[in-house]
Amino acid sequence: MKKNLTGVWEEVSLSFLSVALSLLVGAIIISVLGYSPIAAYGALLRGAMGSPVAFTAMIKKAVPLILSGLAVAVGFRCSAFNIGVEGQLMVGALCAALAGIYLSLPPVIHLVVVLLAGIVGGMLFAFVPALLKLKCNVNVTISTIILNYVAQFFVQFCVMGPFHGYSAMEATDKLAPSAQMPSLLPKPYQLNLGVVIMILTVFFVYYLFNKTVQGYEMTAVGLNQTASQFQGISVDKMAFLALLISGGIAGLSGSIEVSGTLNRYVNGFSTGYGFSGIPIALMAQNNPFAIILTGLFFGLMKSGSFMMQSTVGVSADLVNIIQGLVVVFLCFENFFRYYLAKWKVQHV
Amino acid sequence: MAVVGSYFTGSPIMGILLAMLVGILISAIHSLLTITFGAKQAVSSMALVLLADGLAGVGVQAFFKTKGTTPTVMNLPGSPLFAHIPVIGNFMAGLSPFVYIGFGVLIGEIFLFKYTKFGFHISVVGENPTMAESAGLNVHAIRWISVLSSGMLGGLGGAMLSIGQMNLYQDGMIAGRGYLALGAVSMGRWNPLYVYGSSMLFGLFDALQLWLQTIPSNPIPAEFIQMLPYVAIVCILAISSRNIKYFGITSAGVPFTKYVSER
Repeated sequence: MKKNLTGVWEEVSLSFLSVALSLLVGAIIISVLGYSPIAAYGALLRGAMGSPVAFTAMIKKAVPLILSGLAVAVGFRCSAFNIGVEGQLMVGALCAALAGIYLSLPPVIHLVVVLLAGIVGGMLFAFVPALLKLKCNVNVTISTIILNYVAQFFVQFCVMGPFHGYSAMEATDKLAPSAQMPSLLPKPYQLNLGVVIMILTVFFVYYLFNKTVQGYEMTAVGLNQTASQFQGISVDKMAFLALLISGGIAGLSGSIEVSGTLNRYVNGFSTGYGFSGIPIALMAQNNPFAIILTGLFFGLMKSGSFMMQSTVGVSADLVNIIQGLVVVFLCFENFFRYYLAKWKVQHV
Repeated sequence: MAVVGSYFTGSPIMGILLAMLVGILISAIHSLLTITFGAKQAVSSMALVLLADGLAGVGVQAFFKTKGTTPTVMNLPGSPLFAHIPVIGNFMAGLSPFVYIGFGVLIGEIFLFKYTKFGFHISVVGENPTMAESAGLNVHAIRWISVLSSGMLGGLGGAMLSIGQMNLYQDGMIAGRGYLALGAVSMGRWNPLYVYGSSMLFGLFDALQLWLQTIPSNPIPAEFIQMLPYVAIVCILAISSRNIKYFGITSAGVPFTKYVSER
């Protein structure tokens, strides 16, 4: 399934074109609102990478986004539209926090157990829609969306009820020091081990889809269900597997956030990481390496948006508009490709 | 958007009309992308949800200079039109006019699909666009009209939430109702009457949830009560989707355009 180089360039230029067009439309919206687009985008950039510290903060912010993007991509590759990454992320993060608070283990092992608890938590919560699909034929998209709300209320109950910490915050207690993720750089810089785990996960997803039979079969199911069924691939089983892996990565994303950034489970900590994963995966066309780039782009927008709101006054929600626009413009791909092909026929 | 209209014109009716117009505009983008250019429906709709969410947030700040919540506006609490009817007049006047609008839409849809040629054409295009085209129907036009009217009804639904039930817009007040509607449609097997019934069932669970919360010294934690409608829907879907051979409309979501077929 290797594409030739011109094909790759076509994909990349399409993505860049969409980003450029949406930034342009975003600029128009900013000026209509009565602000200067240059000042707004300037503040956005300064907020995200104005200083080395801000730059590391931006990368740290991108880590859960990239992992969510990977989680979504694994599902999408197999045509299992897992919109429930948000819920799986929250449940995974809660499990990780509980393992970090209530277990006492030696340092390195404890951290590993915490991350594993997050993965298992996410998988367990993805298990519900996967099982509903397998046994009861429930549409994955619908069930995962609805289960997000279930997860939200469930986690809220746990944090406010049995596992509420001593402080007045809507949060659990702090994780044991042995469960907290070590920093990679000294104090003002904010990079931690999560980045390394994120990169390992990227390679894992790459390996899964390019070097394993299961990954190949999942991709086949994603491309054409009927054809793969005739080839003897169990479509239901592959979708089941893809959902579980997707949920596991989502849970990992949540546990990195808990053990690396927050050091406790804070109610409502996820500001839509799982939902952002959807456009991140779409923009990268589900390619794990491209997801690093698109995830960084979204991380830049997210971490810069506060600076934009506080200094220029443009609502941080503008970032959502731009993200939505990027995907809208990506949807024009068939249109672009059609005329590109026509142009090639006439001129080459 | 209904709130914006109601706020500036002082009239809730204008607010509803504006909401429907915006619904149409957003669905027009969807039509252009998916029907004309053959983009994936799931992708385009996700993008538009993200876009609309951002627009609502930025719009609230731009129009009202507040964050997250708009100021209160004129709303439509009851239907005084029906107050003169004896015996049940008071009850009928107490219901939101949206209840009657919803019922009217149901009757209209049943009539459309059962008794009109155009309704039949819509179904044919959904089942088999190639056949529809060879029979001389304009597939794109019919799909455009269908999606635009669905966007209009979606805007109406949003208006119901903001100026029918409440008198303001709040971030997160929609709480996934558009998605729940997807569940209602799949549960109601694409039949307007059954879909109406399943939506009523969802509404029942929502009302049950609100009622349970008002019981004093309730032993069940509030979060589990709030969870109830969502859990109920998943369970209902699990039961109703079982053993169905009929997966809905055959060609729903399948692109039919030169931009895709020639690739």
